[in-house]
Amino acid sequence: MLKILIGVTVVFLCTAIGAAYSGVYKKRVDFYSSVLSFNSELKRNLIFRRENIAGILRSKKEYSLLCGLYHSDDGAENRTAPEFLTQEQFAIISDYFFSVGKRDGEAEEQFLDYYGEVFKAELEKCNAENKKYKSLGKKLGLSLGLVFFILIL
Amino acid sequence: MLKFLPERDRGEILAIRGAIEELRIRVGQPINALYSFEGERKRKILSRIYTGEDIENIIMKLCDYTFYSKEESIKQGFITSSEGERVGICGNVVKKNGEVSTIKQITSLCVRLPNDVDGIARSFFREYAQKAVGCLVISPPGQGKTTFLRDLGRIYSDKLNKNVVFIDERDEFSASGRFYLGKNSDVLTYADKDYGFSCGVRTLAPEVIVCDEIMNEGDILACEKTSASGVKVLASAHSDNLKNLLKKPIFTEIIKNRVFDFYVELSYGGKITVYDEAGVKC
Repeated sequence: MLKILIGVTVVFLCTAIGAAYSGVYKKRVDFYSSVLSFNSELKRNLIFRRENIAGILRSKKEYSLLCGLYHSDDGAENRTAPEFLTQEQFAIISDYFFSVGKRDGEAEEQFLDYYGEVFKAELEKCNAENKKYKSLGKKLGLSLGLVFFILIL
Repeated sequence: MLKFLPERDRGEILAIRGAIEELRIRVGQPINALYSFEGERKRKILSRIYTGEDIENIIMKLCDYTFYSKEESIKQGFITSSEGERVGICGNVVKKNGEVSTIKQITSLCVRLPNDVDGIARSFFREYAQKAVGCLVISPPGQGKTTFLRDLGRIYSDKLNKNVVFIDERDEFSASGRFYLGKNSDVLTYADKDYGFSCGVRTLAPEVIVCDEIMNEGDILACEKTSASGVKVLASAHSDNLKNLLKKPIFTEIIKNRVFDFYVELSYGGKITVYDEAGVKC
């Protein structure tokens, strides 16, 4: 009985670890969706209200993930990388948040357009990866868990 | 106050005994602070030398780190802080299609601190303006024209219950809501005089219009038309005195056309000299 209990626990643990591993792809999708939405909001702001960026970040809950990346008065060294982003992805995001808002209206529009395309491409890539790997982690975890379960028995 | 300055310099400036009037910040030089104390104007030079990067940082703080949010005022050569300090900008003017598009490589800033003196126009009001009158306030820069106009507009609004419209081109009258302008007052912030006079009169039904610094023929014509329509105009002009002002060609007609009921010369320390509509000293 004890062996069965331990075995079931191990199966659950391995499945959970597998799910967490593949969950990183979903987090990237959510992240880039927020960034793209934020970028579009900035474009609208540029045309209409021209409010400051910190205020826009605080205005919606969906941007809460991004707040830690925008520090208006310091350099990139104070930004902490979200654990689910690769180094390359973080470098691009870091550059974006360091530079956003620092130019006149016309140049800012070009900046936002450029990064809009960059983030759109990144989101598509993350969506594809998420589709491919989302269930893979769970299945691998479950398989490994079952192997351990059999070994325990 | 002065939250856009580095903390150490800010502390040093706020510790000055007296009323800070103006700060000059220039690349390669320390801050030069002008203040008044016991009726005298004095200067204090701080120690830290400012670089171009320091000034750039100040500009970004003034813009809340969103440069384009203040783009329109930058094109006109100033930024008003969230606490009403007006910062004049000096640098390379960039033009596009013949119009100023921005100012870059900023080399100096002139910070004017908003100052409100309640009652500074009271003696003028009691003696000459118990019924609302139009007047032109004349002085060199920094002598209190805006302060006087604000107070007089406020008196008209509260004591005479007049509907007063302030055309606040650089947010100096209201200072981002810091100064009370009267219970019957409306403020057009960052509106130029063209818009203020035409749209303000058409849509806000003012009995008094207050504006600052009339400088060209268009401004004078607007004052004339508005005054002729029965709306009293309170305005200001840069000059040493009325006599020198009238030497400028665009101002020669204002006496002849009776545009203003009174002319008020201001000098440092609050001394005022009043002239009637014909330019005769009262």
